[in-house]
Amino acid sequence: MIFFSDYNEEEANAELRNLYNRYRNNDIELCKKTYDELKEVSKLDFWNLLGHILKGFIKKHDLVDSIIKFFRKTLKDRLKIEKHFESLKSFYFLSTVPILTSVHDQKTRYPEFENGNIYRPEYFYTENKLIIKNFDLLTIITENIIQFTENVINGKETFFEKLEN
Amino acid sequence: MSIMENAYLNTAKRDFKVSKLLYRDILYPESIYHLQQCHEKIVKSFCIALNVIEKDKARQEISHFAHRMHLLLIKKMKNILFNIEQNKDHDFFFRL
Repeated sequence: MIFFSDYNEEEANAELRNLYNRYRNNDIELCKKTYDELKEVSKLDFWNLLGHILKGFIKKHDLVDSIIKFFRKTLKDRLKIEKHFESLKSFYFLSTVPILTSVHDQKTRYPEFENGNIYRPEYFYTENKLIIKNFDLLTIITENIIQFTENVINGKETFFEKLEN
Repeated sequence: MSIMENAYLNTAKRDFKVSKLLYRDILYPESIYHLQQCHEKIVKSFCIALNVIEKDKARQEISHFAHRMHLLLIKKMKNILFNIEQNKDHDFFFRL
């Protein structure tokens, strides 16, 4: 178990950068823009960057399959993924979806207000527009993650336990 | 099953429904708000279930900063992958 006191945001962010570099180096074709290009885009922080990268290969209506394809390319020489498709699917799902959902988590906590409590759509952050544009994708992700969470709570999903042991 | 993670999950489902309804009615800001609320509760729910964080800390210390739990989760998985690579344990997944 990881205790909260062990949490170090700087270290965790560095690890995320490593994670990103790993993805990028393994299959750069899946990224529409390079890291340097993305850095030039205003307001894009690292969370958004990861969101863009992920959207490059997680396609609408083909979420899980796309993730599997991506990782299959990445690891095909080392692992026979097909043999353990179901287990690995959960693992990949967990390793990518939280990053993507973090994008909107970061960017919707600071909505624009007018007269106290009324939102003004024209003042949306660029990032929020991205969320609306990709609402269908987020819906699919959400449905999947709800199902996954139910399975974890009900003990049907034990992949993590196996990993830890 | 813990009452708390189940409560988080049930509330998340309601938030999700509300988000979809609002999106359908072109109430985008409110839709995003509820989608974010949904994800915040889902993440708390499965992180508690997976022992990534303790129940009380999920409520008190994580609060609305759900991305911190994402980081903890990713960190946890990264270590596993790192160890597999370091040990060149290519058969790891076959033993699961």
